[in-house]
Amino acid sequence: MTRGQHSTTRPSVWRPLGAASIAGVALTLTGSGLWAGLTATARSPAQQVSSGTLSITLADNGSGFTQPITSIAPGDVVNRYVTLTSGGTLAAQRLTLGLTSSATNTLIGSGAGALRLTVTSCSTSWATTTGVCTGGTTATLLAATPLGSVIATPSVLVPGTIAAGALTRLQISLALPDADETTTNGVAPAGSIQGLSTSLTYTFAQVQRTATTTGS
Amino acid sequence: MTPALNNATTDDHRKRPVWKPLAAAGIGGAVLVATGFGVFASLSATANNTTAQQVDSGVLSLVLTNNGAGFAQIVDNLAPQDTVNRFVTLTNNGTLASKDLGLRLTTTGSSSLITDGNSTGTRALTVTVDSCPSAWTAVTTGNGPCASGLTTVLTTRPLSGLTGTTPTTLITGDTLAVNGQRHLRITLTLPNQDENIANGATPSPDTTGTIQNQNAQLTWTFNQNQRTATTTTS
Repeated sequence: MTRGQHSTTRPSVWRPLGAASIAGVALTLTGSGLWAGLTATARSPAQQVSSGTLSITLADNGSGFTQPITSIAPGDVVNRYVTLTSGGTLAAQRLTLGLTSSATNTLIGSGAGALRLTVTSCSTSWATTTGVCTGGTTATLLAATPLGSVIATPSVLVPGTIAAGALTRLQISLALPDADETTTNGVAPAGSIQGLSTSLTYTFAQVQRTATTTGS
Repeated sequence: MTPALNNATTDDHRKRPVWKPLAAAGIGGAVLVATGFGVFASLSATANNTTAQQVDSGVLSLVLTNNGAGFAQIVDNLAPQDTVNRFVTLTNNGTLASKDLGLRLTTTGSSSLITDGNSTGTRALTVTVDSCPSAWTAVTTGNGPCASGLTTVLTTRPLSGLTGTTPTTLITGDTLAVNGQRHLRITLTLPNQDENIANGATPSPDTTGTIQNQNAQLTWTFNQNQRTATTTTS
């Protein structure tokens, strides 16, 4: 085998290294010449981004829900007052009222003898001792509805928007419908509405306002 | 196409991979979840009363107890002009105040003692009801004096005057508090009347017209109404 044949079949390992070194030097020299020049950048002041908050709180107005309703009789109406505060930074919408009961009985059913729930709002403030919406206007947010219906499906009180920070002043009215029952020698009839009790938890819920796309 | 290749193709058509639809469903589900969250996720807030509102319904109940012998003692062997007083106490033992008081009578037995329809005048038993604000002081002495405030709540009338379907009102309004009592005197009188039984003939219970040897069974039903419904606000 000749020397030339030897280099064809077994190239020296130094050759590619040498070639790479030369190319690197050339690239460095010419590159500096090609990319050197002026540069410019633009940078904004830091863009402030903050997320909103959605919050609702419930406060008794007067006795509110903390005062028990005792010995209610057919035809009785008991009004309690609460104030909802949409306390977040986001507007809300679709205010609903859900209800849970600690007991299952005729009072909280859907029949004729069940308690009726009515929700009325006042644009100003309720005088809790008289039930008068002082200097304002009232709106019925929930017409008389058996408790069982509200327990089964939360009721929409305000379908539209509620501004951030807005107060919703509510009268929560519970009424026991007129009913004829005769207790005989101290024994109430079957299915009686008498002598029953329950504990009610009212849950008010709202969702954020509709998401928006803004450009400015 | 070779037979071998032909067979392989046929097998491929017959045995489709079971993973294909599963994979497609998985991908579809993932897409749905991803886009679904994007569409429906939003902020919501709730508020509830931390102390559950207690609601209790009341009970209206009236019980009748004998004061002395009361209705448990038989009225026996009455003669014209006899008067028998019985005393009972009504107690509102529910949790609701009541108002009004009514009385209805259901009867069985001889109509001559019950129904005052005889052309010769008043013959059937009459009833009078008096109320005393306090307990009758001596129920065993006949009239059972009422210390003060006696009120006649039912003027004298034949028993048949109380047997209608609608109770007769004894007291209108006048709220009776929970555990309050009404103290009543029920007076039964067989009116003065003339009957002449000749030659010792004794009328049988089936003999019409006579008030002798007759009997009747009386059930007294008192009723009250709930207090006036209220609207409370606080």
